[in-house]
Amino acid sequence: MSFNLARVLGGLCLAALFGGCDTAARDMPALPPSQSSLAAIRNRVFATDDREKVLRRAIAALENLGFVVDRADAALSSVSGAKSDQYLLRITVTVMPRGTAQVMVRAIIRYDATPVLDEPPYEKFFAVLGRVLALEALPLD
Amino acid sequence: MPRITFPAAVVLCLLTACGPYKIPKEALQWSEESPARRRAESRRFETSDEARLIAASAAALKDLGFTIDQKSVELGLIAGSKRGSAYNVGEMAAAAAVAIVTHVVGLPGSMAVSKDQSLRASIVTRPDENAGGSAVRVRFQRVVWDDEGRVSKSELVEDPEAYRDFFARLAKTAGLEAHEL
Repeated sequence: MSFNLARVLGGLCLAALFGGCDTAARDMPALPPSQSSLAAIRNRVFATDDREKVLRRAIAALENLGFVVDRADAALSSVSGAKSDQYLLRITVTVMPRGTAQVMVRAIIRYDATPVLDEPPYEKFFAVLGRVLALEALPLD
Repeated sequence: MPRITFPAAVVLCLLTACGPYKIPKEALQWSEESPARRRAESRRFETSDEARLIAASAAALKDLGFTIDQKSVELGLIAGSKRGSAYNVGEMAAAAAVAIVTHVVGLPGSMAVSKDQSLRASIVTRPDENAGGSAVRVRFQRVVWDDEGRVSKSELVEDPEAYRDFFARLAKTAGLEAHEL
Protein backbone atom coordinates (compact mmCIF):
# COMPACT_ATOMS: atom_id res chain seq x y z
CA MET A 1 0.00 0.00 0.00
CA SER A 2 2.78 2.38 0.96
CA PHE A 3 4.56 1.55 -2.32
CA ASN A 4 1.44 2.39 -4.33
CA LEU A 5 1.01 5.60 -2.38
CA ALA A 6 4.58 6.53 -3.19
CA ARG A 7 3.96 5.96 -6.90
CA VAL A 8 0.79 8.02 -6.80
CA LEU A 9 2.56 10.85 -5.00
CA GLY A 10 5.48 10.64 -7.38
CA GLY A 11 3.07 10.87 -10.33
CA LEU A 12 1.41 13.89 -8.78
CA CYS A 13 4.84 15.50 -8.39
CA LEU A 14 5.64 14.97 -12.06
CA ALA A 15 2.21 16.18 -13.17
CA ALA A 16 2.55 19.30 -11.04
CA LEU A 17 6.02 20.03 -12.38
CA PHE A 18 5.01 19.57 -16.02
CA GLY A 19 1.87 21.56 -15.41
CA GLY A 20 4.04 24.44 -14.29
CA CYS A 21 6.15 24.42 -17.46
CA ASP A 22 5.22 26.81 -20.26
CA THR A 23 7.87 27.73 -22.75
CA ALA A 24 5.68 30.37 -24.42
CA ALA A 25 5.46 32.48 -21.31
CA ARG A 26 7.88 33.86 -18.82
CA ASP A 27 7.69 34.61 -15.17
CA MET A 28 6.66 38.03 -14.09
CA PRO A 29 8.88 39.38 -11.31
CA ALA A 30 7.21 38.31 -8.09
CA LEU A 31 7.69 41.69 -6.45
CA PRO A 32 9.35 44.92 -7.49
CA PRO A 33 12.66 45.60 -5.78
CA SER A 34 11.17 48.63 -4.05
CA GLN A 35 8.43 51.21 -4.30
CA SER A 36 10.92 53.81 -5.49
CA SER A 37 12.13 51.67 -8.38
CA LEU A 38 8.52 50.91 -9.34
CA ALA A 39 7.79 54.65 -9.33
CA ALA A 40 10.85 55.19 -11.53
CA ILE A 41 9.47 52.67 -14.05
CA ARG A 42 5.93 54.07 -14.11
CA ASN A 43 6.52 57.84 -13.95
CA ARG A 44 8.10 60.45 -16.18
CA VAL A 45 8.28 64.23 -16.00
CA PHE A 46 7.63 66.56 -18.95
CA ALA A 47 8.52 70.24 -19.13
CA THR A 48 5.04 71.65 -19.78
CA ASP A 49 2.20 72.81 -17.59
CA ASP A 50 -0.49 72.03 -20.21
CA ARG A 51 -2.19 68.95 -18.77
CA GLU A 52 -4.91 68.79 -21.42
CA LYS A 53 -2.34 68.79 -24.21
CA VAL A 54 -0.43 65.98 -22.50
CA LEU A 55 -3.63 63.94 -22.08
CA ARG A 56 -4.55 64.42 -25.74
CA ARG A 57 -1.07 63.40 -26.86
CA ALA A 58 -1.23 60.40 -24.51
CA ILE A 59 -4.37 59.33 -26.39
CA ALA A 60 -2.48 59.69 -29.69
CA ALA A 61 0.48 57.71 -28.32
CA LEU A 62 -1.81 54.90 -27.15
CA GLU A 63 -3.51 54.77 -30.55
CA ASN A 64 -0.11 54.57 -32.26
CA LEU A 65 0.69 51.57 -30.07
CA GLY A 66 -2.52 49.76 -31.03
CA PHE A 67 -4.66 50.53 -27.98
CA VAL A 68 -8.36 51.26 -28.23
CA VAL A 69 -8.85 54.31 -26.02
CA ASP A 70 -12.20 53.93 -24.31
CA ARG A 71 -12.05 56.18 -21.24
CA ALA A 72 -11.05 59.80 -20.83
CA ASP A 73 -11.79 62.17 -17.99
CA ALA A 74 -10.43 65.70 -18.06
CA ALA A 75 -11.48 66.37 -14.45
CA LEU A 76 -9.58 63.32 -13.24
CA SER A 77 -6.74 64.03 -15.70
CA SER A 78 -6.82 60.43 -16.80
CA VAL A 79 -7.17 58.38 -19.97
CA SER A 80 -7.34 54.63 -20.39
CA GLY A 81 -7.16 52.15 -23.23
CA ALA A 82 -7.23 48.43 -23.89
CA LYS A 83 -5.28 46.20 -26.23
CA SER A 84 -6.45 42.70 -26.88
CA ASP A 85 -5.40 39.81 -29.07
CA GLN A 86 -5.99 36.54 -27.22
CA TYR A 87 -5.06 38.58 -24.12
CA LEU A 88 -6.25 41.77 -22.48
CA LEU A 89 -3.91 44.58 -21.54
CA ARG A 90 -5.19 47.81 -20.03
CA ILE A 91 -3.17 50.97 -19.56
CA THR A 92 -4.25 53.95 -17.50
CA VAL A 93 -2.39 57.23 -17.85
CA THR A 94 -2.72 59.99 -15.28
CA VAL A 95 -1.24 63.47 -15.59
CA MET A 96 -0.44 65.46 -12.45
CA PRO A 97 0.99 68.95 -12.01
CA ARG A 98 4.53 69.07 -10.72
CA GLY A 99 5.56 72.52 -9.59
CA THR A 100 4.52 75.36 -11.88
CA ALA A 101 6.21 74.36 -15.14
CA GLN A 102 6.12 70.58 -15.25
CA VAL A 103 3.71 67.66 -15.23
CA MET A 104 4.28 64.14 -14.00
CA VAL A 105 2.79 61.37 -16.16
CA ARG A 106 2.05 58.06 -14.49
CA ALA A 107 1.26 54.95 -16.52
CA ILE A 108 -0.09 51.76 -14.99
CA ILE A 109 -0.36 48.65 -17.15
CA ARG A 110 -2.36 45.59 -16.20
CA TYR A 111 -2.55 42.17 -17.79
CA ASP A 112 -6.07 41.13 -16.84
CA ALA A 113 -5.96 41.94 -13.12
CA THR A 114 -2.20 41.57 -12.73
CA PRO A 115 -0.01 44.69 -12.64
CA VAL A 116 2.78 44.65 -15.22
CA LEU A 117 6.10 45.39 -13.51
CA ASP A 118 8.39 44.88 -16.50
CA GLU A 119 10.12 48.05 -17.68
CA PRO A 120 10.12 47.71 -21.54
CA PRO A 121 6.42 48.47 -22.23
CA TYR A 122 6.57 51.55 -19.99
CA GLU A 123 9.74 52.72 -21.72
CA LYS A 124 8.08 52.23 -25.11
CA PHE A 125 5.00 54.20 -24.12
CA PHE A 126 7.00 57.11 -22.69
CA ALA A 127 9.27 57.15 -25.74
CA VAL A 128 6.25 57.46 -28.08
CA LEU A 129 4.60 60.04 -25.80
CA GLY A 130 7.80 62.10 -25.71
CA ARG A 131 7.96 62.02 -29.49
CA VAL A 132 4.35 63.10 -30.08
CA LEU A 133 4.75 65.82 -27.44
CA ALA A 134 8.11 66.86 -28.89
CA LEU A 135 9.40 66.88 -25.32
CA GLU A 136 11.93 64.77 -23.50
CA ALA A 137 10.56 62.23 -21.02
CA LEU A 138 12.58 62.98 -17.89
CA PRO A 139 13.02 60.46 -15.09
CA LEU A 140 11.83 61.27 -11.60
CA ASP A 141 14.46 63.00 -9.46
CA MET B 1 13.08 7.66 3.18
CA PRO B 2 10.63 8.63 5.97
CA ARG B 3 6.98 8.55 4.93
CA ILE B 4 6.43 12.19 5.85
CA THR B 5 8.69 13.31 3.02
CA PHE B 6 6.26 12.16 0.28
CA PRO B 7 3.40 14.54 1.12
CA ALA B 8 5.93 17.29 1.74
CA ALA B 9 7.45 16.67 -1.69
CA VAL B 10 4.01 16.80 -3.32
CA VAL B 11 3.16 20.07 -1.60
CA LEU B 12 6.53 21.51 -2.64
CA CYS B 13 6.02 20.46 -6.23
CA LEU B 14 2.49 21.87 -6.33
CA LEU B 15 3.70 25.18 -4.92
CA THR B 16 6.45 25.24 -7.53
CA ALA B 17 3.92 24.58 -10.27
CA CYS B 18 1.66 27.35 -9.00
CA GLY B 19 4.44 29.89 -9.36
CA PRO B 20 4.15 33.56 -10.32
CA TYR B 21 1.44 34.59 -12.80
CA LYS B 22 2.74 34.42 -16.33
CA ILE B 23 2.34 37.09 -18.99
CA PRO B 24 2.78 36.05 -22.63
CA LYS B 25 5.89 37.65 -24.13
CA GLU B 26 4.04 39.00 -27.16
CA ALA B 27 1.63 40.93 -24.94
CA LEU B 28 4.46 43.24 -23.82
CA GLN B 29 6.24 43.61 -27.16
CA TRP B 30 4.65 46.75 -28.51
CA SER B 31 5.23 48.17 -31.95
CA GLU B 32 3.81 51.22 -33.65
CA GLU B 33 1.08 50.93 -36.24
CA SER B 34 1.53 51.46 -39.94
CA PRO B 35 0.62 54.82 -41.50
CA ALA B 36 -1.71 52.94 -43.88
CA ARG B 37 -3.81 51.74 -40.98
CA ARG B 38 -3.92 55.22 -39.49
CA ARG B 39 -5.10 56.63 -42.85
CA ALA B 40 -7.84 54.01 -43.18
CA GLU B 41 -9.15 54.88 -39.71
CA SER B 42 -8.92 58.66 -40.06
CA ARG B 43 -10.52 61.54 -41.94
CA ARG B 44 -10.08 65.31 -41.86
CA PHE B 45 -12.97 67.76 -41.60
CA GLU B 46 -12.91 71.48 -42.36
CA THR B 47 -13.92 72.64 -38.91
CA SER B 48 -12.18 73.40 -35.65
CA ASP B 49 -15.41 72.72 -33.76
CA GLU B 50 -14.60 69.40 -32.10
CA ALA B 51 -17.79 69.48 -30.02
CA ARG B 52 -19.76 69.44 -33.29
CA LEU B 53 -17.79 66.44 -34.52
CA ILE B 54 -18.26 64.62 -31.20
CA ALA B 55 -22.02 65.24 -31.31
CA ALA B 56 -22.21 64.09 -34.95
CA SER B 57 -20.13 61.00 -34.09
CA ALA B 58 -22.55 60.16 -31.28
CA ALA B 59 -25.46 60.42 -33.71
CA ALA B 60 -23.68 58.26 -36.31
CA LEU B 61 -22.92 55.61 -33.67
CA LYS B 62 -26.53 55.59 -32.52
CA ASP B 63 -27.66 55.16 -36.16
CA LEU B 64 -25.45 52.08 -36.28
CA GLY B 65 -27.05 50.66 -33.13
CA PHE B 66 -24.35 51.58 -30.63
CA THR B 67 -24.89 52.72 -27.08
CA ILE B 68 -22.68 55.60 -25.97
CA ASP B 69 -20.52 54.49 -23.02
CA GLN B 70 -18.11 57.38 -22.58
CA LYS B 71 -17.75 60.95 -23.83
CA SER B 72 -15.23 63.71 -23.18
CA VAL B 73 -15.52 66.81 -25.35
CA GLU B 74 -12.50 68.39 -23.60
CA LEU B 75 -10.25 65.50 -24.59
CA GLY B 76 -11.99 64.69 -27.89
CA LEU B 77 -13.13 61.15 -27.13
CA ILE B 78 -16.38 59.25 -27.55
CA ALA B 79 -16.74 55.49 -27.07
CA GLY B 80 -19.68 53.17 -27.62
CA SER B 81 -20.56 49.52 -27.85
CA LYS B 82 -23.25 47.13 -29.03
CA ARG B 83 -23.84 43.46 -28.27
CA GLY B 84 -25.31 40.76 -30.41
CA SER B 85 -25.40 37.07 -31.18
CA ALA B 86 -22.30 35.41 -32.61
CA TYR B 87 -23.91 32.08 -33.50
CA ASN B 88 -22.49 30.74 -36.74
CA VAL B 89 -24.18 27.90 -38.65
CA GLY B 90 -20.90 26.42 -39.92
CA GLU B 91 -19.32 26.46 -36.48
CA MET B 92 -22.42 24.88 -34.90
CA ALA B 93 -22.42 22.12 -37.54
CA ALA B 94 -18.75 21.42 -36.82
CA ALA B 95 -19.46 21.31 -33.07
CA ALA B 96 -22.32 18.86 -33.64
CA ALA B 97 -20.06 16.63 -35.76
CA VAL B 98 -17.37 16.67 -33.06
CA ALA B 99 -19.98 15.82 -30.40
CA ILE B 100 -21.24 12.83 -32.44
CA VAL B 101 -17.73 11.49 -33.10
CA THR B 102 -16.61 11.82 -29.46
CA HIS B 103 -19.83 10.15 -28.31
CA VAL B 104 -19.39 7.23 -30.74
CA VAL B 105 -15.79 6.56 -29.73
CA GLY B 106 -16.65 7.06 -26.08
CA LEU B 107 -14.46 10.08 -25.41
CA PRO B 108 -15.45 13.03 -23.25
CA GLY B 109 -15.29 16.59 -24.51
CA SER B 110 -17.01 18.90 -26.93
CA MET B 111 -16.23 21.89 -29.11
CA ALA B 112 -17.10 25.33 -27.81
CA VAL B 113 -19.06 27.57 -30.19
CA SER B 114 -19.26 31.34 -30.44
CA LYS B 115 -22.31 32.68 -28.63
CA ASP B 116 -22.19 36.44 -27.97
CA GLN B 117 -20.21 39.28 -29.43
CA SER B 118 -19.58 42.90 -28.62
CA LEU B 119 -18.55 45.55 -31.11
CA ARG B 120 -16.81 48.51 -29.51
CA ALA B 121 -16.10 51.83 -31.15
CA SER B 122 -13.62 54.48 -30.05
CA ILE B 123 -13.59 57.87 -31.79
CA VAL B 124 -10.93 60.48 -31.15
CA THR B 125 -10.92 64.03 -32.52
CA ARG B 126 -7.95 66.38 -32.58
CA PRO B 127 -6.94 69.60 -34.28
CA ASP B 128 -5.09 68.89 -37.52
CA GLU B 129 -1.98 71.01 -37.09
CA ASN B 130 -0.72 70.38 -40.62
CA ALA B 131 -3.74 70.90 -42.87
CA GLY B 132 -6.05 72.81 -40.52
CA GLY B 133 -9.51 71.73 -39.40
CA SER B 134 -9.89 68.61 -37.27
CA ALA B 135 -8.89 65.00 -37.70
CA VAL B 136 -11.22 62.21 -36.58
CA ARG B 137 -10.01 58.67 -36.00
CA VAL B 138 -12.36 55.75 -35.38
CA ARG B 139 -11.45 52.26 -34.33
CA PHE B 140 -13.77 49.25 -34.13
CA GLN B 141 -12.95 46.25 -31.97
CA ARG B 142 -14.84 42.95 -31.92
CA VAL B 143 -14.88 40.63 -28.90
CA VAL B 144 -16.53 37.18 -29.08
CA TRP B 145 -17.51 34.97 -26.15
CA ASP B 146 -18.11 31.22 -26.46
CA ASP B 147 -21.02 29.27 -24.97
CA GLU B 148 -19.01 28.75 -21.78
CA GLY B 149 -18.59 32.48 -21.24
CA ARG B 150 -14.91 32.67 -22.23
CA VAL B 151 -13.47 35.26 -24.63
CA SER B 152 -12.77 33.23 -27.76
CA LYS B 153 -11.76 36.02 -30.10
CA SER B 154 -10.74 39.64 -29.78
CA GLU B 155 -9.70 41.61 -32.83
CA LEU B 156 -9.61 45.03 -34.43
CA VAL B 157 -12.05 45.27 -37.32
CA GLU B 158 -9.97 45.64 -40.49
CA ASP B 159 -12.76 45.74 -43.08
CA PRO B 160 -12.29 49.15 -44.81
CA GLU B 161 -16.01 49.23 -45.64
CA ALA B 162 -16.91 49.53 -41.93
CA TYR B 163 -14.76 52.65 -41.67
CA ARG B 164 -15.99 54.14 -44.95
CA ASP B 165 -19.58 53.59 -43.87
CA PHE B 166 -19.01 55.29 -40.52
CA PHE B 167 -17.29 58.33 -42.05
CA ALA B 168 -20.03 58.66 -44.67
CA ARG B 169 -22.63 58.79 -41.87
CA LEU B 170 -20.50 61.20 -39.84
CA ALA B 171 -20.03 63.55 -42.81
CA LYS B 172 -23.76 63.52 -43.54
CA THR B 173 -24.72 64.17 -39.90
CA ALA B 174 -22.12 66.92 -39.45
CA GLY B 175 -22.95 68.47 -42.83
CA LEU B 176 -19.24 68.44 -43.74
CA GLU B 177 -17.07 66.70 -46.28
CA ALA B 178 -14.70 63.97 -45.06
CA HIS B 179 -11.21 64.22 -46.55
CA GLU B 180 -8.72 61.38 -46.55
CA LEU B 181 -5.47 62.17 -44.73
